[in-house]
Amino acid sequence: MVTLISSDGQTFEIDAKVAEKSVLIKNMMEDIGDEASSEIPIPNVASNVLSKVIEYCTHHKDDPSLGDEETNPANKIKNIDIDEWDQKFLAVDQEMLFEIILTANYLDIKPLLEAGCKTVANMIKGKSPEEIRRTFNIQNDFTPEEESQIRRENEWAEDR
Amino acid sequence: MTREGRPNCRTDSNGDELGPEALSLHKIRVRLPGAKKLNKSLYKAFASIPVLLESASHNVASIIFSLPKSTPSLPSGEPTLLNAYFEDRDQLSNNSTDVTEPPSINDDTKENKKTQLPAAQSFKSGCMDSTSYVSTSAASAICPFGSLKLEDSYNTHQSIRVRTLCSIGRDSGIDFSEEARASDKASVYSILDNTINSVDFLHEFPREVIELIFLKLTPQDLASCRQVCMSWKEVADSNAVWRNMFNKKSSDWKVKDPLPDGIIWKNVYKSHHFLDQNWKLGNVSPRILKGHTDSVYCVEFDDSKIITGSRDKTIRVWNARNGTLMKSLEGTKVIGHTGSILCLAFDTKILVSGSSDKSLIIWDMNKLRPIRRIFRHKDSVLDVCLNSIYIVSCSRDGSLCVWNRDNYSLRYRFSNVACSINSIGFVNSKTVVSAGSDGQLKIWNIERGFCQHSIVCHDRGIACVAVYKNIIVSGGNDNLLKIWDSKTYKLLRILKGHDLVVRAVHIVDNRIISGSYDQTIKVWDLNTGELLNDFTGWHSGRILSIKANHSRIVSTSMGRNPVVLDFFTDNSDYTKLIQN
Repeated sequence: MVTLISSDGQTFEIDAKVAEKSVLIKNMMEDIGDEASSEIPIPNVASNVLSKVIEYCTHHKDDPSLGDEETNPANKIKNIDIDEWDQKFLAVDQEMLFEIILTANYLDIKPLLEAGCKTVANMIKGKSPEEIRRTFNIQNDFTPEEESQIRRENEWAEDR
Repeated sequence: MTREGRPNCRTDSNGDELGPEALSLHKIRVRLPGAKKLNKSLYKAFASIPVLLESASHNVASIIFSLPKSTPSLPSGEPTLLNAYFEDRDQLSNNSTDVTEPPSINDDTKENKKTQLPAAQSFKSGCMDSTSYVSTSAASAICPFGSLKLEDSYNTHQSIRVRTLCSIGRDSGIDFSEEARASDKASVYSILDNTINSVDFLHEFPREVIELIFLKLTPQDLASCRQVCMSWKEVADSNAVWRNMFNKKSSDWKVKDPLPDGIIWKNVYKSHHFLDQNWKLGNVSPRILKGHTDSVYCVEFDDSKIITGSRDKTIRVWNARNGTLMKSLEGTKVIGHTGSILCLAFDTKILVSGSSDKSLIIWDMNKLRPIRRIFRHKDSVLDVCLNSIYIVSCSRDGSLCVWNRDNYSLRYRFSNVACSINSIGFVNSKTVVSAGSDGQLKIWNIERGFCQHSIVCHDRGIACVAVYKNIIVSGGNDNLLKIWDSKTYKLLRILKGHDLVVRAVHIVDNRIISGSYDQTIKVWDLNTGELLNDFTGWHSGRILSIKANHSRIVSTSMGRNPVVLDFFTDNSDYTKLIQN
């Protein structure tokens, strides 16, 4: 068992197998050695996010570990499909989603980072610039001249 | 997570009285122009109110009703009067925030709810630039910038259904009505949640994560992204994103190695995109090579030159870039062809030509002078191919000769008087496939000198053969193209379309290019067999030879003028970077 401590001091006692979904924690555990009661502080992750991430790792604890995404040619051309469970798991508000992505990146949990990024990509896909601005609360800082210039530059990508 | 009764809705000046439970129950964000994120204490203050305030542009504020995720016991009572006081757009004054009781939405019926919620409430809205009071109730409010309606929302126990949430004035932002009509509760949740708590992730994520997200988009999506704002444009145009977009494309997309510094990957991608489009649509810029005085039987080309051989007994070398004639090889008195040039092959060192005079001539590729003339065939030399060790030639007399490249001595001579061998091609460095007028493909081991396999494949003679990876394509007098697996010799597909003999075939980048006596050039998808393009009208006689690379098709015919169909129509510098 491993004990993770969130930024707000909450402790999570989890199976080593679950913790090892995080490459960072896995490496830390290897560095620490096989001490029975290893406590690992995760100082920049709050308990509500950490518990979500642990939920993910628990669900996926028996998944075969993926090879390196980039070197595995099977992974090269990937579609945007997300595992159904992951989809539901990531159906959270934007703030939580972003926190999960940041945590997955920090803890080096590649499949979760992938699923999170796909989820965000799906929030962009097929949207107009204005819809994207609304989705992420972005201010348009282009002048009308710049906008029409950009539209002209975009023509090549339009019909496919 | 606690989902018990609502926390006290009244907060003190900084909202600290609200516990974390309140935060976890309801998330409400107030957005103002220029203010990226609401400061934490105000966020807390609003946390228990099922109302979202939104300001979409300078003078417009909008309010969106948002129902808490779980509302077990909303206090009933008078409609809410929510006063928010904004010092200015970027700064929210905590002191002025006063939150009173929220609207009553209880477990009763819709009617009940509607009766409890008055149609409109006092709504004072000043200019958001200075000071504004926003107050609202629930069901419906008329505001200066548009109407706001909560037509049909009710909650039942732990779940909330929302239909037609709101429709707001034109610029004010969000109209959920469409999406929210979805019956699926979960999806309604996620639409609401995802959008209500929206943050520009560009400011939250490390660059590599942002790139990871952008990589999952299509070029069309990236085109939208670069219109969003300056910082999005920067990422959407970045080399990191486009290099990966490029690499994600099929393996047919290659670039020269090494690439120059300062390469703009988006432009490389664009060049390839245009090239693909042009192949797809059949957009070409044509060039006619004028000079031969009779039928042109054969062609070979590379990036810099096109070499053709003709019935006029000359071999001509053309500039591949502009189509001008660079040299006409007529031989010397000692060494020169006395018949039509029927076939040729070249690499960086030598050019080999085969003729109806039954001989082959080896030319120095750089000096373009003849080196040696070799005879062993008893009739016209119909095809020739070469690699670093061997030169292989075939003839109308049914013979196939394997020559050592180093001293041009004959290594093997196979003879089959029954038929003519019309075409040959390397399957690998030690194996050659030959196509005969008896309708058979034969696989020859040229290292050890035997025929290792025969395939009876066309009812009539085979006019041409081409090899690509593990694929052999044959074209016959039966007007068909047949695709074979070169390892198992299985027939994979038959391509029908030509009306006359398929005389020439070439495979490049998963495309089969065929030329026929019917005067058409057809482009086929190697994998699906689909006819992609059909070029007609370029030749006024039977097509005799065809070669292609990633960007052009060069064909020759009984007409005098070879035709170059170039799929690079834009002439941008980046076309040079794309690998042959």
